[in-house]
Amino acid sequence: MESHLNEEQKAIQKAAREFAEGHFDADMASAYEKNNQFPLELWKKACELGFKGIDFPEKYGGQGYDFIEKLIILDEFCEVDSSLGVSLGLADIGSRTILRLGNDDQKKDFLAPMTKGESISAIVTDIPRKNQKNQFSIERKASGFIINGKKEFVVNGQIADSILLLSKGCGEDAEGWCIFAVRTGLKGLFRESVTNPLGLRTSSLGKFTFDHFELNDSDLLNGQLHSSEKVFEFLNERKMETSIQALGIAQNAFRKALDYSKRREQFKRKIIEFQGIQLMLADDAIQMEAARSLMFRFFDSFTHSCLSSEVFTVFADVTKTFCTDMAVKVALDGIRIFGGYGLTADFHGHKSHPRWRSLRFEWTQVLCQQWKPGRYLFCVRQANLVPGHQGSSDFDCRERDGRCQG
Amino acid sequence: MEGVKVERNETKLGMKGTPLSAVSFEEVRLTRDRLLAGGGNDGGRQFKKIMGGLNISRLGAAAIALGLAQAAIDGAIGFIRGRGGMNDPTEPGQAVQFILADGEAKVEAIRALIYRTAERIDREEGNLIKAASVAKYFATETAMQVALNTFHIFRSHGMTGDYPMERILRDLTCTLVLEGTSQIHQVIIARELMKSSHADKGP
Repeated sequence: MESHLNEEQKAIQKAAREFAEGHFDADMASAYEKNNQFPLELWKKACELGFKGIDFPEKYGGQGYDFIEKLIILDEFCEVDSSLGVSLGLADIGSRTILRLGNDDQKKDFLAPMTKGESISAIVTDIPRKNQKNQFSIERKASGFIINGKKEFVVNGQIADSILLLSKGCGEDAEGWCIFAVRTGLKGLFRESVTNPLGLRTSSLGKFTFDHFELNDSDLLNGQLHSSEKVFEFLNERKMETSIQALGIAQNAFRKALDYSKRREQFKRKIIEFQGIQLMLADDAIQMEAARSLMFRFFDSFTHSCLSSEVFTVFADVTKTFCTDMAVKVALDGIRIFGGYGLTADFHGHKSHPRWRSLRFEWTQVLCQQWKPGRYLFCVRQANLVPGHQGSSDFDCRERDGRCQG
Repeated sequence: MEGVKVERNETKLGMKGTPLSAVSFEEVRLTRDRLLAGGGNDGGRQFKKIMGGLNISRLGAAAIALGLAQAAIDGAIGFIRGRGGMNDPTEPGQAVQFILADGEAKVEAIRALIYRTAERIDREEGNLIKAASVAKYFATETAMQVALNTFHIFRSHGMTGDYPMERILRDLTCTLVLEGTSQIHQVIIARELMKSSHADKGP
């Protein structure tokens, strides 16, 4: 990403890389993965050094940077280790919504602990779909709300101590969204673990069941309902985070496969000398370059803040779909190049990377990235939503009638 | 047997029901009557016969892929019915219909190819090395496409152990690599094509 970053961002990138290479240990990652455990100690260390909450203002314990800096860190973390990178990235999953929509007290309450390594966040979203009931019901009482129902797939579900709960049409206004920020440990919330997930094993996946879960009026973010537009901003940012995670993981898988193909000998030659391997790697490199270009474009547009929320929604869908599909292909190609070793063993490779974790971890992780957040249905819906969407030139802010001189 | 040592059992991505181990041999002594092929003056005929067994095991890998792809489609249909029953039993959208239809067509093609190849192996007709490689390559690669597409129907539920999809994907990844990777089979198919002077279309 060099040319698209300023000096400060490059310094952050370097620091994140050094931290990841210094502290992410292959054996440790495998152990966490095996036990379905969140890397708690590592996360605390990352908080201590200011990597978490880098995008919060200083008065809420952050570093006063923005979303791009957060993405840069995610990229580096995921490139060094897919499991640890992703789960560290997801530890403050609800933070940006609170940052955008919460009042001062709520920000102080919820954001500062996330930067100090004291609080892990989870999000429970109930997006109404056509012909489907909401997954849980929210009942308005004279004062407060009562929630019943369940949510089947919650990242950090088992360990989170603050939850962000989003649901549409719970108040008087059917179009409004209620967003609650609450501490767990209240009465009426039951958690189960998700059994044997494909990937995301270090993110403590859980299922939530709400049974007469009581909330106060003061738990409502900023004490009011929010518009869909504001809520989908959070989803758009999640899509960009997922894209860059997939990109980082693909980069790692590619590097391993390239390195391995240069040392593995078969039929009395290094396998990189075979056209079959060359073509696979070349195609992967092309796909990655294209994905990276999408990301740069987003960086530019974000820096010049010239993405309207509608266009951002489509752009985020496009980027997320392309990046995750690309990562699935690159990781699977990596497994093909490693052959049986891709399925089983850790690889004892280069001097600077004494032990690489098996490619199967990247592979399972990116498969999950395809669905976090959703895929086709999002795209189909969003494509219909954008009035007058004219294809890709809409994404390019410089072409938009002088709204943004970037 | 003395000198044979199982070094370790590998943890692997899929096919966890069949243990995979690293085995070391140190000064293992074998008597002559253990020899199956290659030692005598049979001109390597026995060895060729044993290598012929590879054709069958390659077709076995193809059959595994076929079963898994079928399971992915069956699972997806069950999933849609189950979810639909809870909410609204309308027919699925076209995005889902197309995934199912495309998958079904591909599974039928894989099935036809595998059974035809099996028949050819039974009758020892034509170039069996090529036929087995074609079947293994096509079956595993196509089954993987089917599974990756079907995975989308399950949405994020596909990632959990509550539904069969995540195991199917892990097992299918193994079929791409076992019994020779797809790339090796492409090499074999091309090599056999170059050898023959006429088209070998089989019966």
